[in-house]
Amino acid sequence: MNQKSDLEILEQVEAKQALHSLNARFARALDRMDRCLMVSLWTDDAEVDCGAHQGSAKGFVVAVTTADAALERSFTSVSNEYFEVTGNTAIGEVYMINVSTVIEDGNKVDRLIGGRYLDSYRQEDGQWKIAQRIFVHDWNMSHATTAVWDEGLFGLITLRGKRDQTDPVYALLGE
Amino acid sequence: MSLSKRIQAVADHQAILDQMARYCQAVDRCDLDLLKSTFHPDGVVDFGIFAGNAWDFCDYDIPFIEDNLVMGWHRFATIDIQLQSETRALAESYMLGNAAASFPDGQLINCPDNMRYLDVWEKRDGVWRMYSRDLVMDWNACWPYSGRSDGVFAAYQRQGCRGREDIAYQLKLVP
Repeated sequence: MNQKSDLEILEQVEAKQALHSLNARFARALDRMDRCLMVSLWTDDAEVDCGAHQGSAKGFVVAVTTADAALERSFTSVSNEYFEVTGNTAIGEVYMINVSTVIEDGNKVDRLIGGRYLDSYRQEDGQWKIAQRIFVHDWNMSHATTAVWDEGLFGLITLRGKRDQTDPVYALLGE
Repeated sequence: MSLSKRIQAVADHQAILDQMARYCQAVDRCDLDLLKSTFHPDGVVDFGIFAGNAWDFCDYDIPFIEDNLVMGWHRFATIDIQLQSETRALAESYMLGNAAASFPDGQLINCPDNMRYLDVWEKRDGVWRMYSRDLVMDWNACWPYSGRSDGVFAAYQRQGCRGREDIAYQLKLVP
């Protein structure tokens, strides 16, 4: 039996915590269109297989951090994160649910997408990065938007998410 | 970083996650003492519905929830915890909630709500609690209430509720 040393056990837990944070930062980069952050999350030779985006991650990074008048809001939440770490590399399966408000034919539509990221990761200079990401689509649904922003209880909540660096998160974390 | 400091950092990360879960237990069970235990007494919040001292917020928020929501349910995921020092951390976490509310005419509505929490955590006397928490609204929906208790749902004999009658207390999952 291969007995792990205390240091190896610690490194495994550290790596998994770092991979959780990496995926949360991916969500922030996507939802805020934060190109600097998004670029920093991938290895230089990273590859994606994400719907319309195939091949080098560089094109994906630019595309998803470019303003799109038809995409008003985006909320990308990940959970069910399963990682296997081997030294400086890791693989992972991460469930995601993306809720967005899109404009279709002049009408606002709430679009929900459920899927999974199937990933390879690599640690470079102490930082865990995405080396390969495959997006698997599991389900989607579309509803006419019913969001309430200015009335009732929701109207009282004045801090609002933005798809740029005016989002309140940057007051906390800086750029 | 020394081995013991690395172990402490991993434990700190986990301790903050535990407290984030405690916060959701507290608001969903309307447990004022538990809610206060997640904040330092001199903490501050900006939730829109209330901005100011964190413990004053707790005193305000629990009756507010009881008066305005028939049901509240908070599920957090997508957590980025950034340890700044041995006693201070910044965190962003995504929350996918669900709430039911009643109009004055008795009509029930169901409101999924996607929010984020922006936090500053501080470890004092060995315990991590929030120094500050802001609430950011990203999305919501307002649907006619369609919850049922008949048919297949009649088999669910454990119904979540507010207060110490919820089974989580009997099972010692909440102090």
